[in-house]
Amino acid sequence: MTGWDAIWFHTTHSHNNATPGAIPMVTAMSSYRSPVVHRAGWTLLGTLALVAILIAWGMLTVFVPAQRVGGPVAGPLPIVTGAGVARLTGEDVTVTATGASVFIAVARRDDIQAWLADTPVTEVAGVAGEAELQLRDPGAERGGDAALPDPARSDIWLDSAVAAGTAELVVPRPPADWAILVVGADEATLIWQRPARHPGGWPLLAGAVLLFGVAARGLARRNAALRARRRRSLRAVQPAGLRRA
Amino acid sequence: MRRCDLAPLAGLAAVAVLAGCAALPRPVPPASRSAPVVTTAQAQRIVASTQDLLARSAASGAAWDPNLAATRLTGPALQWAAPAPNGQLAPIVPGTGGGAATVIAPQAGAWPRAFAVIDSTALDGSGPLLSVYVSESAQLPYRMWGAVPLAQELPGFGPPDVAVGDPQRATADEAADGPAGGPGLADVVAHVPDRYADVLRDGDRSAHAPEFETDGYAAALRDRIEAERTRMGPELRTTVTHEVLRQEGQPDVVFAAVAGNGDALVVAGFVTTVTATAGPGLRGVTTRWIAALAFVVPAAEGNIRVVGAADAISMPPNQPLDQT
Repeated sequence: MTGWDAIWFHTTHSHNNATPGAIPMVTAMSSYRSPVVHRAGWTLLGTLALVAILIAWGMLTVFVPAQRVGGPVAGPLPIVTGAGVARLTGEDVTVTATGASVFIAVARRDDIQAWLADTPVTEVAGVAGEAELQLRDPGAERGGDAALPDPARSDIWLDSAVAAGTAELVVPRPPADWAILVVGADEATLIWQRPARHPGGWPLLAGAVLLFGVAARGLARRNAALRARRRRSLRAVQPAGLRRA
Repeated sequence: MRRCDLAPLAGLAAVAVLAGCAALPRPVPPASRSAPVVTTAQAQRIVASTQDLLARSAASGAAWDPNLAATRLTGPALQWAAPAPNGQLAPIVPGTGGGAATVIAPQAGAWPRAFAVIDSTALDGSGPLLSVYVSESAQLPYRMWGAVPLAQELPGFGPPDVAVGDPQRATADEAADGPAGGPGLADVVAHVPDRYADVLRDGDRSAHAPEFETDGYAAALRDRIEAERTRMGPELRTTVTHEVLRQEGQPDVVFAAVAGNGDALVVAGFVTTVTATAGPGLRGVTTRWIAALAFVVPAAEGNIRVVGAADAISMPPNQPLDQT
């Protein structure tokens, strides 16, 4: 017997005892069955809403992803991001590089590949951890980028930064077919921003609270109705003399 | 299954889902999509850099540095911007008038690449001006190849900024759609310079003359060659000939793009050289014109139209004849 069956049994049993005649008993069963089932439904809804509130709370607190992801990568080879890597999180990318003469640029990946031609590069293929980059072909032994022409001469760059020392370039939400290039850097750091919290957290919390309120209100109304009917039933079956006493 | 059994399972599922949310982001390879050779911002940056160089060149006068000029100028534009030997600037200084500009950027493909800018007003306040910029490779900058004043607005090439297809792709589309019933657009576009050079050489006698609408440039060129004959004097007049070639080291079609209405805009360069023969083995160039011309090849039936032309004398007249 489940909990809901127990409630049903208890309710009908108590009314059987209070009702000496067959007709009142049938009346009581047909009228009480509906409120009890509804109360169970409201309780279930309220429980689900509570679970959703807990999940939403988790999304907004415990399970919030790190707000930044990325890491350092060493030169002196040109550093270029792989296909789709520039748009890793869909948010802004900040590139910082240090070196005697640093050039950071963003351009369409195909254009960067054409500009690099056969020059060996260090390719950033993604992130290996929240503070570590996943690299492909990190072959520093293959030599530097001395053969490359002056990147400032080309017009393929959509945005760029040049500096002797430290240069920084912020690329706002790059499209998937863009790539980032760093030339002349001893070391560079690529940091992707991430959404501050889970995008579904607040909508889920709001919906769950609303649902919980609806369930609580429904449950309260059903309980009130149940009590009122129980009082009416008791009045209907009580003898007049007993009622007076 | 009892209710109490479901609760832990639901909790585990929620944790698994949320743990997935906190996982490291993975790159998603982009779907291949076509993009224009330059964005509007890039085009504006290139035009501004070219304008800056032209302004500095104009101010430099005798200190004209051809190497510096070549960083942003090439083709006829480099010729036009150079000071004439007598110290005067060439009559045509390419540049935009600063009006509303429309960038015509074909879809990106292999190098060399080119794009065009139509400025609503030229420097002298006249009609629209078409400037063409070319880049030989990804490692080299875009350089202004030429600026052509347009006789009229070009239908299909109006603002807002447009990224248009190239004739080769248009031909592929025609092939996919079915037989076009004649030579493809790319084929016509590729032969425009050759055929128009033939028209400039032979005039109405050219077999290709019926393919082109009558235009002012060809007539003006014929008049100038006639004037050159007159200037040569009676002893040399009969020896004057002219030859029309495309500029050496430049592609036949410098720029081509298909507008939204299907018409193709074609820009090409021509060099007309007038020579005279003073005696046996003594033949020399008297005048040479470097020209940039813009054509519209209609998608439907119709003749090819010259919609703009600009040229300049690349060497001064009265140059002594050299033995050749």
